[in-house]
Amino acid sequence: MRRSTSIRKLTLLILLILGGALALLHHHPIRVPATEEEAAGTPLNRRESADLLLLIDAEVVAASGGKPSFDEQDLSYGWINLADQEVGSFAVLGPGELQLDALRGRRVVVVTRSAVRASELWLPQLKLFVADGGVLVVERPTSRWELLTGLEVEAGASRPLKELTGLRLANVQEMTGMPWVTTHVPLRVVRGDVEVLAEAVGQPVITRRPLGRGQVIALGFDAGRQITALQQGTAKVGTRDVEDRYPGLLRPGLRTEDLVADSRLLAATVPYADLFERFLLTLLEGATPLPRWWLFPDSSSGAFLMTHDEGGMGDRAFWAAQIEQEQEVPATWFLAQGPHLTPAGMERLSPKPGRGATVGLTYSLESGADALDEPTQVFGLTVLRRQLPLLEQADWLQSLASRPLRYSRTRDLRWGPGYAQPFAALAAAGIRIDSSYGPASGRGQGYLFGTGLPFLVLDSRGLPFEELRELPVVVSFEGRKLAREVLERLLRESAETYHQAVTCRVSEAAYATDPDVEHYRLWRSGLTSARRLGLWVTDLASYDQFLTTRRAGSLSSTFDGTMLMVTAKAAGDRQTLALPAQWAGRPAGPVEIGSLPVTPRRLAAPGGDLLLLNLPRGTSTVLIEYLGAP
Amino acid sequence: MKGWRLDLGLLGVLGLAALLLYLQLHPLEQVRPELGVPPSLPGAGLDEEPGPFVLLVDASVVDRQATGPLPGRDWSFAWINWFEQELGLLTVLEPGRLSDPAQLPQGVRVLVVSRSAWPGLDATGRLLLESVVASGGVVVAETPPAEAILPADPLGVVLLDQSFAAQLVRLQQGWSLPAPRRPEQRSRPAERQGPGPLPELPPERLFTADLAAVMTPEVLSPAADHLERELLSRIEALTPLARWWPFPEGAAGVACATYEEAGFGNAAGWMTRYDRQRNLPGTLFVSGLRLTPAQLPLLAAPDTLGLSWVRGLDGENWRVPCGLGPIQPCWRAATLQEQRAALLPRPATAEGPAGLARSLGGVWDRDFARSFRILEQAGFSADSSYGPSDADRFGYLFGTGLPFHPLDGSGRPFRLYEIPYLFRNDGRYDRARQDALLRGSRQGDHQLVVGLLRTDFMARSPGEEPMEAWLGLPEAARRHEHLLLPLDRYLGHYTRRLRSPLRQQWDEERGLLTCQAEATEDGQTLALSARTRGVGAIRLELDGTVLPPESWLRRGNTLLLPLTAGRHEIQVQYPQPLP
Repeated sequence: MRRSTSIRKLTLLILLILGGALALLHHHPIRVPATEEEAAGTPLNRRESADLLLLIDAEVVAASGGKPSFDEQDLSYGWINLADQEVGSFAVLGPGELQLDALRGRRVVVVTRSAVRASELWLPQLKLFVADGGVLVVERPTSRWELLTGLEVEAGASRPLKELTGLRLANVQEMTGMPWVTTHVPLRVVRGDVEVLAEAVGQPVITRRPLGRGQVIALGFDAGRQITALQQGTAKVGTRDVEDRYPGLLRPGLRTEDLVADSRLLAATVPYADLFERFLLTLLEGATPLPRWWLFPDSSSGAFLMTHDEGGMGDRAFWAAQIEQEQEVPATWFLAQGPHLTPAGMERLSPKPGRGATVGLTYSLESGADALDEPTQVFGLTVLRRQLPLLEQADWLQSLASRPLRYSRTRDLRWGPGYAQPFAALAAAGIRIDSSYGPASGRGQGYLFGTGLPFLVLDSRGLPFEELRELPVVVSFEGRKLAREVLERLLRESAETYHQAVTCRVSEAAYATDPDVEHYRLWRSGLTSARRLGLWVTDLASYDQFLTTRRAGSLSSTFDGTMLMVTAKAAGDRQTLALPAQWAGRPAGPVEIGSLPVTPRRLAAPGGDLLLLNLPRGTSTVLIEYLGAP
Repeated sequence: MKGWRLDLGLLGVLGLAALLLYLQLHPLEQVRPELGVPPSLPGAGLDEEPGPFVLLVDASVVDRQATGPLPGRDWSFAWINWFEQELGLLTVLEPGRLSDPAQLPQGVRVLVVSRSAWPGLDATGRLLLESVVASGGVVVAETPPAEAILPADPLGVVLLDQSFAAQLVRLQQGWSLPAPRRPEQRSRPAERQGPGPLPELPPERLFTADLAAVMTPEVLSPAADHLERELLSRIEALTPLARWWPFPEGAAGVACATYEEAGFGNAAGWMTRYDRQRNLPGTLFVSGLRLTPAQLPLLAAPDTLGLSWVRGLDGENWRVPCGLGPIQPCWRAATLQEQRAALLPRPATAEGPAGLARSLGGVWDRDFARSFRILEQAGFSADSSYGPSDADRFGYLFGTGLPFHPLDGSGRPFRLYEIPYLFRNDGRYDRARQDALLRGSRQGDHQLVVGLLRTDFMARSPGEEPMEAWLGLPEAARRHEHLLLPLDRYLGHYTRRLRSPLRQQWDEERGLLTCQAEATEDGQTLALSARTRGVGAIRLELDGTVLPPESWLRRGNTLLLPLTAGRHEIQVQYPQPLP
């Protein structure tokens, strides 16, 4: 009797505890964070025939990924963005693959920081390459390169690069405000024929040395790091470095804008990363004129992309899509998984197959209460909430939109927890272009990441993800600081000076949280201004297609001191070839495509004017003569 | 046994704790009806010297007939609205006061004998009728009994054989009380977004649009005002009048943007903020659903704030918890007075009650005038809940855009005004319709065009049209010669003109209308008959200065004369002899 009473009491107690636990869990359910599938970056190897060859040692790069500090990482793959954005046709090899035939047909070889030591084996071959008219760029050379560079490395540690002085290069004034995020090695000139082009604290950092018919250019600093840090930001996420940047501000989650290399970039209206890339290109072109694929189709001077974040508004948000369709403005819509999106809404977004807006995913990567999750219930009480991983979010949208998913943006431009972790998840999900980098809090607008152009992103070890690019947002219609003049200026300067893709982000959910008339008016006027300025108004899918075609083309050329002959193979229509309008102070003369004279479009650009030529699909031979005595 | 008792006791305590916990999480609603007060508007001006426009009403007759079906009651007090809206001035007299023939009011230009006044009209009263006609005035006789003796001069009498006042009440205030509809049939205040069942209103509630006598979804002409103006034109065809125009500065009308915070919280300030930038103050109705008084200064200036009266639409209530300390197992809805006290504690001014209210979503009592009684008790000067609370409807559902005094079931008028709104920025609102309203108002309707603009419209039903129509409102108003004013300021102008003295004499032989007007503020506008007896005015003189005809501001059969504050003498000359 006593035993059964005890069992009864025990059962009652257990039931009570269970009930209490259920009630507690219902109000504070267990949150299971998402386990994301992640892809890793891979060494990039491109053996194609191209004027430009980058030497990158993937093993050295990957090994540096284990170093504790971001500052010690080897970011040599940053060079591929210079090559990809500014030239469009290039080869990448490891130093182990460098043989004489690998140098054949090349006009510029860049030995990146990672490849400097391993390439020392090939010094005689590289010397022959330069003597034969080639241009060799060596990044942070060692003393063993003295034979070619005429420089020795002094004892002592690398120093942070703060400023370049004594510049003997044209068209670099606009770069003056650029924050430097790199160090330089202490170099000393040991040969008389070395020309110092730029110094830092009295030491040479950029030098040029003629050798035979070619030139050797030495960079004492880490250009790949500078490009990567500006474009992809710095990996100091979660450290005091980032937190101290916004004292007193409540920051519920990290945003991409927190990654900027320097807080001055939060309101940069100048694309410093691109100016830096063009500065380096100008350096090369001091030695030899280089042909390149232009950034936009049909000789357009810039691009304009209108993107919308549906943000949980559901089908209601598509009123704007209808107006854009009426005005024949291609636009991109990032959609968030939620109950208010329906197939009927998707039809409004894309009323006809192949027409209408490009659809991308709003990737919800928040943790905690804001996360997109799936509840588990017991007796009608929610006890567990499992955060949905990216792949499930993507599956949901793919089935709703009935099309493969290629584009993404994180919700509210959030980021983290790691520097490149979201990229790893996006790459695993097959995303080709992400557009999460950019201004989100209204503290500033513009080129926070030094560029408006899509760039290849690197993983935490410094290796690039194949086919994943980041297209930074330049203008977010959010917050109260966006002035009409800023948008107008960015669009005008894109058309006239910087030749950028200006990606605008409209948050439809802002109409529900912090509406602002000016954002609506700017959305309307932005579309009109972009058209008026002759920018290429496009969406992500069209831009992606253009980039794919551009990348599939090839460029090779020969230059005899007067005549530049370019063999260009365009993989599709609407491709444009860009050539320097003058070289070594000599203006370009008549231009011929396949023996037929053509009149190119002349376009002012940082680093010197360009001549733009629309090429037909297939192989074309272009001849251009630089007038005057060599 | 002892063990079982212990278990039961323990279970009981736990059950009680669980119940309390449950009630704490899901408290019960305590229903406490809000009653309100009967009308407080006295027979205006009883002790003052009568002005040129007099209404005869017998309140005791009105009171006696305050039972039975609404259409059959005596609504004589509704004449007040005709006087206020069209003439801008009135004196209400009881027929019983007209006992001394020596003290009959002088200089009466228009005398309305309402339906209620006939039984009490004795020989002295009839003498008044004769004297009004003899001095060139007009007597309006509403449904006179067969035995009534009217002045003999046909040029002095306008006969109404149907109850004009009852028509006004039917159109303006509405008494069509539909039976409670099934949820799927019930009109909805706005498109609800998101999942969830459509909440029901209790059977004693409806939406204001349900009260409209006009059932068509889109009403672009003000039927009640047309009725009023038809009567006015019949009078002006007999004798010229000087009256106060309902809008300042001779404008064709006034447009008021009235914004609704409607639970949008801090974000609701974006429209008023933008209006401030373009120097167009509107009126913002705020609710206590997501706002505290401390946040209000961020949203709008204090003189442009009104109260959104939360009445349980979509299950949203302003809850007042009841209980003991932290244990609050029930709640009740805050009364209107509590809502006002918490959000807009504005005392009545010397001029009378102040403050604007609007029922959120147009939730209204089915019981006739009960909502007005509650509003009157809370001391508001005006309410603006009447209008197309159903998003499918648009325009003059209540026959007018001008303020009017609603009447209680007893037939007595409330002191507060009802100011109907004509459109809301969801549903049918677009540039074309907004333009049509303003165009109609410029071309003859001459209205106060009040728009209900929900500040969360871009979240609930976003679109280009509602945004562009709102952005284009100032330009459209200017194009159609309307002023844009906050509702409070317009109401101030409307009521000040009612207190502005206006004397006038009509010299039939000389064809000369002379008036002494005292404008209480700059821009107050005098309206003069441009035509009478089929001939037009030929000379207009202001304070001794003849105004050249090319400078006259004409609107239909009306000459408008904006005045500066102060006394003025005006003369209008018509051709002689008059037909």
